[in-house]
Amino acid sequence: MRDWEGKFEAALRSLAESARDQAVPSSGSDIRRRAETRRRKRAFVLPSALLTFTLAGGTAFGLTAAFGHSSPHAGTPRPTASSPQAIASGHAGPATLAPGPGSRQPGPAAAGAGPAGSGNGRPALQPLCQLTKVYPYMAYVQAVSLQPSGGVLDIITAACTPDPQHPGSGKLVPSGPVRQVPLAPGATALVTAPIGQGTKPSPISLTQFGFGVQQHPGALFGIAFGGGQATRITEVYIHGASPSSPSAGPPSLPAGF
Amino acid sequence: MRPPLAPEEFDDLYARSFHRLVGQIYAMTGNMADAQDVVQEAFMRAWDKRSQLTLTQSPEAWVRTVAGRLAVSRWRRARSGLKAVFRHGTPEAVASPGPDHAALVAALRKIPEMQRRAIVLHYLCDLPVAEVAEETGVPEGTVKARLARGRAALARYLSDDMLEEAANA
Repeated sequence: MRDWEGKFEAALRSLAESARDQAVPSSGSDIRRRAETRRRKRAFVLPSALLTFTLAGGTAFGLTAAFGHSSPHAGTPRPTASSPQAIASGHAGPATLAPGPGSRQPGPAAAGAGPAGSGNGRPALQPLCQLTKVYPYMAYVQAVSLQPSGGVLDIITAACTPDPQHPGSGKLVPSGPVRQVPLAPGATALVTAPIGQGTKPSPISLTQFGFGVQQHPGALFGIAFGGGQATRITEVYIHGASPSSPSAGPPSLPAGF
Repeated sequence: MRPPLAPEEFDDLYARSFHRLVGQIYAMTGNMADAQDVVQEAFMRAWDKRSQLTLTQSPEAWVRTVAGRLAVSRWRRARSGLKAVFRHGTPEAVASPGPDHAALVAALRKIPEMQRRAIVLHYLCDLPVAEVAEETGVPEGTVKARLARGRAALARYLSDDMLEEAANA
């Protein structure tokens, strides 16, 4: 057996030697670098994963609270109208928004939505006149004519009128005739659904903006002016507007309009 | 208490022992690619735990133990992952032993994993029974039994001619 053991040991060493020759070594510094990279990744990924999970959970919880138990149909969002700025303005109290003449009709989600505060007794989240504090000039854009030198917007201004049903708050309504305002050549157009995607304003080209308005006339925009021209047009996301009659009291446009 | 392993000390340890450890783990696993991978992984873990490594008398033994455990867990995963092989086909080819060593590798694969480990530590790493017992975490008597059973099993699969052929390869 001793003889067999000696031969076995020699064969085993020969096998290990053959492996040594085949092994492709990297350097110790390379191993250290890889270990450090992995450690850093782990240190970053784990908190990131936790944060993502927490945010996702919080968002889901918030959405469930906002839409879930108040909707008559599962998966149908509550009628809302908002913009990031409007939410940030911290308004309190309901108001209604009326689309302008020829404006888009409320979508299916809005079809069952009554005026603010109706239905299940909870006030609906709808845009308030305080939007006009964020955007000094609110208007329903009816058409866009693009020209090499810039363009022209056909707008109907959005007026803020008192809401008798909700003292202390107002509602936005279309007011006055169609007006034309010049569009600056390098104007920025930011859109949400339905012209764009989602509820967060995202930039598009003026050509796309013109085409989008043609498809969806009467969308509500906040307009910034500079040098007598509209330099920034930001669509205010509307979800579930309730029709209302136009009223007087248009906001004052910059001098010259 | 010594300070943590310095980068130069680690590099030196790696340069001295990498090939030797790959050979030892290859003898345990019979798979060259796995042997390289687990040894490199063990060294990476060694760098992560370099403060503990200085406390051990032999960093190389620490790396070998970790690499051996990694190899075992890989083998177990591979065994339980046979379904994936059937679904996705065989993994890419790995270096196989030369014809002179094929019989030896095949015989080593036939004996139980713990017997193989004891055999390799004792005959290839030159560890006495007591140290094999320490490294594998079992009593010396168990190591002796594993060595005896492993030798007997291997003797059935490996003739003297086969061994001589492998030794002279």
